[in-house]
Amino acid sequence: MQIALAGALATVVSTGATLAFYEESLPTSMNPLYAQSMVDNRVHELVLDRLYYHSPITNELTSNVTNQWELAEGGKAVRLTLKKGIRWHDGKGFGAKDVCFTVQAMLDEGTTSPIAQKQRAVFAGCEVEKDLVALVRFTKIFHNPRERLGFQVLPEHIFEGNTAIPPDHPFNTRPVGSGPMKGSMGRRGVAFEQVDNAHHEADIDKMILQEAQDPLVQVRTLQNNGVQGIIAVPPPYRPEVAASDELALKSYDLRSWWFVAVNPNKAYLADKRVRQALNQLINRNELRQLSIGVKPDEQNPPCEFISGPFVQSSPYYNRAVEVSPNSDKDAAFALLAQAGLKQVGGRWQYKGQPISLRIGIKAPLEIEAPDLLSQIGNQLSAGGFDRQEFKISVDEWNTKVLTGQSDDFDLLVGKWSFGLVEDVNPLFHSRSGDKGNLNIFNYNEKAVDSLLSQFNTARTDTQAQDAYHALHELLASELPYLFLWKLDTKSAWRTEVRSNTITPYYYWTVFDAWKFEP
Amino acid sequence: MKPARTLLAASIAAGLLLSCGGPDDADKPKVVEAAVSGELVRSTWMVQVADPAQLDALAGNPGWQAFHGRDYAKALGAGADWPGIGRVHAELSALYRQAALVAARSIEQTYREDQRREGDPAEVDYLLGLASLILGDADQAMTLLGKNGGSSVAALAAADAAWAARAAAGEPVVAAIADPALFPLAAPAAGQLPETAPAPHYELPETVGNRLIKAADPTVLLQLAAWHEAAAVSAIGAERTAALVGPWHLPCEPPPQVDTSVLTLDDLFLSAFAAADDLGRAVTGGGASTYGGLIDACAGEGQARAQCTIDAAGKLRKQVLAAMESVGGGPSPNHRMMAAFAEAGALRAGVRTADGAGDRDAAGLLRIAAKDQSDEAAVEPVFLVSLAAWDVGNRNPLRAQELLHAQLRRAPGLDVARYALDALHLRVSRDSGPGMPMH
Repeated sequence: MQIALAGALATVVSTGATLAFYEESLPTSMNPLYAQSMVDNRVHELVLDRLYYHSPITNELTSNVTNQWELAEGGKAVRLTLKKGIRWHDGKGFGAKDVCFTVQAMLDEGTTSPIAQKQRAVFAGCEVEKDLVALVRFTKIFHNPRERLGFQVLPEHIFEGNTAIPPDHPFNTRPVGSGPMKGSMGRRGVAFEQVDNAHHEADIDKMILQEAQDPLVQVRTLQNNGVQGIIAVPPPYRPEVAASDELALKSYDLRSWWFVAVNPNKAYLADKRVRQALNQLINRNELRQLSIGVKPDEQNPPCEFISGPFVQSSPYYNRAVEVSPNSDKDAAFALLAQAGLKQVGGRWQYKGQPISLRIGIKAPLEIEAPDLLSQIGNQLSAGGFDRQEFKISVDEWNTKVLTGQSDDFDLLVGKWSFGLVEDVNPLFHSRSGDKGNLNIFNYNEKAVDSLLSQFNTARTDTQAQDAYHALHELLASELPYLFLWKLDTKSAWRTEVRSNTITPYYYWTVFDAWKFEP
Repeated sequence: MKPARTLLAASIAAGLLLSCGGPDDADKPKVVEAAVSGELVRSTWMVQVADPAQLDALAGNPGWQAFHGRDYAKALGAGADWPGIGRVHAELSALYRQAALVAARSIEQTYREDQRREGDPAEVDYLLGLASLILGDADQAMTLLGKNGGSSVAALAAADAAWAARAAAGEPVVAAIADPALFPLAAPAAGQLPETAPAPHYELPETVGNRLIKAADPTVLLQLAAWHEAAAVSAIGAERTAALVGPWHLPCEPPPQVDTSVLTLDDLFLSAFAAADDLGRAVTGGGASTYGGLIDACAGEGQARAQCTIDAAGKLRKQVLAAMESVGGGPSPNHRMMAAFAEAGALRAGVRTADGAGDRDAAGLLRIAAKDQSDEAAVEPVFLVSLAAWDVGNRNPLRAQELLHAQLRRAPGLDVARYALDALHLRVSRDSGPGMPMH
């Protein structure tokens, strides 16, 4: 989806009231219903308000927009009383009609957002009882129901009451929010401006989000005070940042894992033995060392290998499934031979035709893990496969890769990030209706679908955990992905930026407290 | 090694790790803003060992090298002559205590009455009862223990009966327990690591369907804590052990009585306690010390208190670094690493003070700041697991899982805490609204 270009970005001001920072990429949508990337999520946190959020300090469930709440209708509803005086960035009043509009928009089948689709299992409706009192109804009685009210509130007046919100609505590029900052997207970045409100009074007047550059350029610009922050510091540069008295390296708690998706629709990749062989040709230790700078014997690595679609610390991770840190060429070749591939002149062929693997990577990932694409290519080439390498723009990633329209690729390198909820169903379920909407190569395996269904319908925590343990084991054999690693995320901020508490996953939740004292 | 031993002997003879009037150069640090007096800076172990000859001797010692990386197993293998053996056992005792706290709080958050769910086994009453004991709520524990005598999980039934009896008799929670139902360990021996019963210890039948929940018994962690404490006592004596373990006591344990005058350089080197008085303050919650001065100067609450402490800790690091460079005759990579302990230690001391004042926001902010300072040079597993325990007490399993997971390789048996933490994560995440993977 093309973002409407709103004009050239203002020149970055290195000191003064404007705080500039590097993000992994530009956001693709300012509408939280259509968030696809962590960049989107972080921007939304500045511009809009979630009904409830967890304090990054005490984890207390808190709200900037509600005063009171009570259970209603036997526990199947929550009555929310909103704070007085809150205004949208265009000056209009914030009220119960906006909360109910947002719920109705999520329930409207015309809102084709995957996020909204998931919410339809949670919400049954919403009623405006008074200007500032909304009754939110659930599909059933939930434990701790306010935990389900973490969605951002949208302005009813902007959509003129039309609850079917398409992905190309103008709001997606020109949002009107109620958060501490209003944002406007430019050609090369996003400009934010502080907005005083009854419930927000951010200390920082202006911010500029810039797209990440070459990692060395990012760090030097930070050191020279050309920007004041980097959201994700590439690992090789973290020691340098940590050693500086002018910079602070800060943890950003996020569950992210990296992968190589394999296209099973290609005839030579349809046989899982070939995918298993590719897995054996990959030397993760070498990849990690060359692209991230972590040595095999490092004691506290920020990057830990995985054997399935979860990070090792997750309760869903099946610890009986071992990782493969090194390559095994003999094992790989045996698998390829069993699958019917033949080597001619040292290059693998399928049915007499040479195989040249088209490998792509989401472009911003090359900043975080420099040369990862070429290192993977090198390893596969050493294993007898020709290859071509491509960097894929974020736009193409969103419009083609995530929608299952990248069949011209054999392998795609990417990263997924999760918060508390590690729902991987969209990644591996076969595409059908509202299922599998992030299934990159339209992988289709009934046994996998069955396990994902078991997870969805689990009555107990153990049932859910068992389903995902079984999924992990199955995917480690089927290998629709080659699972690489989890990589910790660290931000860097100049010490002039103070009280800068970073919220896990959402980042900017307590931005009101941030201070910039240049 | 000999210069270090000589200084160490002098420290012991002095009975207190205090400044004894260092070289004049230590009075003239680089031009840095002073967070504390020069005398206090000189009293820190960082400055005490800054002399290159002494530092080289320490750094060249395999035991200290292993301890610096918190490779406890390797450090224990450094030989009986290495003076840090008792320190390692004391630190392990503290680590297992904090892991028991992670487990207890996780269990309490998952299975307390208002959080029970369909399918939860009846046997969780035993886990909750034990958790209550660990958390210092003996009354609550007595209402829960002893109810699972008829459980089909025989080992749990036996453990339940054993703990019910201990609780009724007022027996200490952290103790070497010989009862075969409670995972007894071999006799403590300095320089060793005991074998423990591997987790999970029970498979508990859900009351819905036919699934079994794998559960681990926190008793193992309590036994390990007691074992290592006894091993520490055999190596360095009861008083030094009590001082080292004191700051990490569990809510169920009586307030420790410690005499920090017995502490030596070996007890403080590579720790976040800059001087003996800092450790004393960590136990008593007050008193003069290197950190105490700068923390007490930070008035206010919440963000104001936290930011003041963060700024002061940063100044302290620079001050300590300058003093070390002055004593050492120039910079050294080790100085930077050791100065990081000073900053981390000041932040952690700030946490304790804020906790004591009931200032949750400041305590939380300082914990986050201390964690960021403790990731690299100043890694201390005990603090990181204590942070996990705090998170869990706030019903926040996400960071706690990362913290605990990163420490599992350091000490066998720590994974016992993971079972309870996993259960909490499952519960909390399934309560949350839907989530989508994001690229």
